[in-house]
Amino acid sequence: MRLRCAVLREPKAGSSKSEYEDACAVPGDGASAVTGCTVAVADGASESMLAGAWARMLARSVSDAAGRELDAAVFAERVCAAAARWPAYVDRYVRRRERSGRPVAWYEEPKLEQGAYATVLGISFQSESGTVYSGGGAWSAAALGDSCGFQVRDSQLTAAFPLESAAQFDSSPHLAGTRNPDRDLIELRTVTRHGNWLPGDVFYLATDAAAQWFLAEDEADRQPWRQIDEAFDAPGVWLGELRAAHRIRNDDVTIVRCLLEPA
Amino acid sequence: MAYCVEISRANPTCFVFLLDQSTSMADPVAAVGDAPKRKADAVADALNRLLFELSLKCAKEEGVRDYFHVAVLGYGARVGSAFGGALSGRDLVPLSQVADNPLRVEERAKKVPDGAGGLVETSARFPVWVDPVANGGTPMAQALGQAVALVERWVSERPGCFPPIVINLTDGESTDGDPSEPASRLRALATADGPVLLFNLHVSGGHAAPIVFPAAETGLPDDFAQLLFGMSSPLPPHMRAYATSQGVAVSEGSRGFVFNADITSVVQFLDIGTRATDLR
Repeated sequence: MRLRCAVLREPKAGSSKSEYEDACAVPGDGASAVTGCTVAVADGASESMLAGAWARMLARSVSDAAGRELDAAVFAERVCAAAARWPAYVDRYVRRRERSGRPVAWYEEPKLEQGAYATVLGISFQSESGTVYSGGGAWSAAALGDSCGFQVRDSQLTAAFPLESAAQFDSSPHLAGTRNPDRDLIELRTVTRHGNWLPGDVFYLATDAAAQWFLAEDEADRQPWRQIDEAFDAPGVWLGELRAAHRIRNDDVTIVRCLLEPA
Repeated sequence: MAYCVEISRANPTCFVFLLDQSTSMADPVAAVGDAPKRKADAVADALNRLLFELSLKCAKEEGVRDYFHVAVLGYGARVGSAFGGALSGRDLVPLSQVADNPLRVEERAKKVPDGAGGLVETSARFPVWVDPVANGGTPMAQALGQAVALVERWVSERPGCFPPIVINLTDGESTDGDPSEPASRLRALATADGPVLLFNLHVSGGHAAPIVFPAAETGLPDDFAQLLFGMSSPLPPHMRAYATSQGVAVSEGSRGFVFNADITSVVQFLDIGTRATDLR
């Protein structure tokens, strides 16, 4: 079995592509063997400095779980591993700014000290070696905050995590921070889920605005996965219409579509 | 629903601070524990700290984003911009320019946790945009009139923005006539997202307990307090929610008004009164 991933990403309206602060980590172009795959999305908190860089680092670190079952302990370890690399990243950033003749300003120093924050979600896939699920396997997911995952089978939403309804979103999700991460607290705040997949199942990983829209559309029986599948050709147009109609919050949007297909 | 439009660089809003600089601002402000401080010093410190925190909030890798434009009008011996240095004489200034042009950056002592349960003194940079001034009468009506002109221009140019917020910081009664008339003109201005917000803070040298965000005139000590209450806009829901999250008791009719403010309530008032909705 193979995992075929496609990514839809758009910055918030009014922002440039370089200001996009979500991130994802997926297997390379085309399809990859399912076993050993962990896919991740992260959403940098917009009030942080270097939020996009932190989201990228975090998504990569979670995807480095490389198919290991994502329980809270493994997930917290991946978050802490990313945070351990952060101080060196900031040092390099500060030196780069100095070399470019634009040293960090007085208002950036305390902001860099405050650290960067992001929500993050990962899903690991394993192929089933037994005979219970013909050709399928198991998945495990872990999330800190409100980036969400959805499993769709035969045009039905069969799993939504960590949030299950559009009304559950608020403005203060749990965040993974760069500053003195507390592994026990991360474990405590991590929401985990696991289940089984079958060939043909599709998983969607989405950052908060898209995830909230997804759940609201599903609650209205509008099969959001179909709209997403059609939007890959022209995501900007699709999101522009949703934003103009106030059906989705104006935020960076990242949706990763993962299709489990026969090799 | 009002007060919910997002604030963005394409659709910024503005803050206008009116700063009483009359002679009586040289009197001490009520404070608990710390050494006595002049009202003018306390209010200037609180305002400088607010501008510092706003700059921080909007700072990104490319600089400070202009979600807000800011004016500080002083009123005392004269009425006009209280900015100094490169911003001297300017009224509404984009926040990026405010951040890039403090009058000076001071090193101030601050206490931070030492990691062993105690505190250790260290120094921190403290930018200053507005120096304390205490000189002259209290031409509050004229200051409010200037705010009307600034905000009128702003809302005509940006009719869809989050409504401007005007914050008046004073310690005494107007000496140039009834301020309620220009205050009412100010509150009558609006954008598509709701009426302009006018909040009033009365800073006190006395020891009476502060009256914080009252919902009715009942309990206000005198005509002056009632006047400022009447001039103040109701707090929008998102500010009430934020106040509640900070442990401040508010109710649906709470006005953006604090009477007999001590140093703590000056800072708290500015924090709650400038709380914006989503920045994008």
